[in-house]
Amino acid sequence: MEEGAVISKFQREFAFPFPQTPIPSIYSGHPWQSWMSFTIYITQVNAMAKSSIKLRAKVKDDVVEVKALIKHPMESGNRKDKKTGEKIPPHFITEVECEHGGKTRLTASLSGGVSKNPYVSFKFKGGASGDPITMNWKDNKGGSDSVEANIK
Amino acid sequence: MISSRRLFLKRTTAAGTAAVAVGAGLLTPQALLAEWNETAFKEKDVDAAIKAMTGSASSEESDKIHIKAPDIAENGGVVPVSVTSDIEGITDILILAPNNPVPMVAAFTLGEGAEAFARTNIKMGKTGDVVAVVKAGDKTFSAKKAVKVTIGGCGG
Repeated sequence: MEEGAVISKFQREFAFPFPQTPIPSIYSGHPWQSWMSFTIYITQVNAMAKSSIKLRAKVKDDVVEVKALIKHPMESGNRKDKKTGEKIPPHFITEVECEHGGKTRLTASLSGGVSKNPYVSFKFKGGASGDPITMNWKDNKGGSDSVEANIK
Repeated sequence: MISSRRLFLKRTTAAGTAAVAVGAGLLTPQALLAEWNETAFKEKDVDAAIKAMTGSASSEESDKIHIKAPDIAENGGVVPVSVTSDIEGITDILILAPNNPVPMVAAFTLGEGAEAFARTNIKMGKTGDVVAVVKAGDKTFSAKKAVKVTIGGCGG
């Protein structure tokens, strides 16, 4: 049997739902193995669920209010590094797009003049509770991300 | 069925011209603002930036545009600005800070069903106006609000 595949008494008895989680070999056979794989599992789940976009959409009186908070430095290119005195190159989101029901509900063009970790909010008609809604962004360096959420 | 030959010719040429006009970009549809407008976001002059973004040089001042922004912003790095309007048929909402190195801050192109509302946080280098421009049809309207900035948010 391989080292990593050793199942501890704990794991057999409690059967946590983390069969694929690789356990660092230093912990295999260790009394803490079960706990370690559990913490690794939680970290992985958190990493998976964490998108750069926090998207919330809520319907009220037929109008869906969409609020998004995007994690991004939004460097304008005008700022200087305080230590080296060199200009920090621009790095900002250029486009944010929001889709719902196969239609583009909003296209926002942003610039370095938008605050760090930008907040974008808008409203549209024609959405219902439970509908999926997607948002994606692109930045000037070719970076991008997208997320899907359901309207509450 | 087209019974008369003359009518048939008339119709085909009319349709052909329209197709050519669309193809040549004479009749620009909504795609006008679809791509990130580099010219508008590099322009140092407010009016020129608005023109690059909307296509029209002058905008009418309107009291039907409502800008919500703080009178005094303690931190110029984060100035919450929201724009709403009662004007019908708005397709675009622009937010500008004329005193910033680059005045054009954000442009929202409203899609199908979108309400005349946009909100974001902007940076302001120093005390000045926040200008909102809305585009409805081929007309543009603007409004402004003064914001006093205690600590600037653009320099470093």
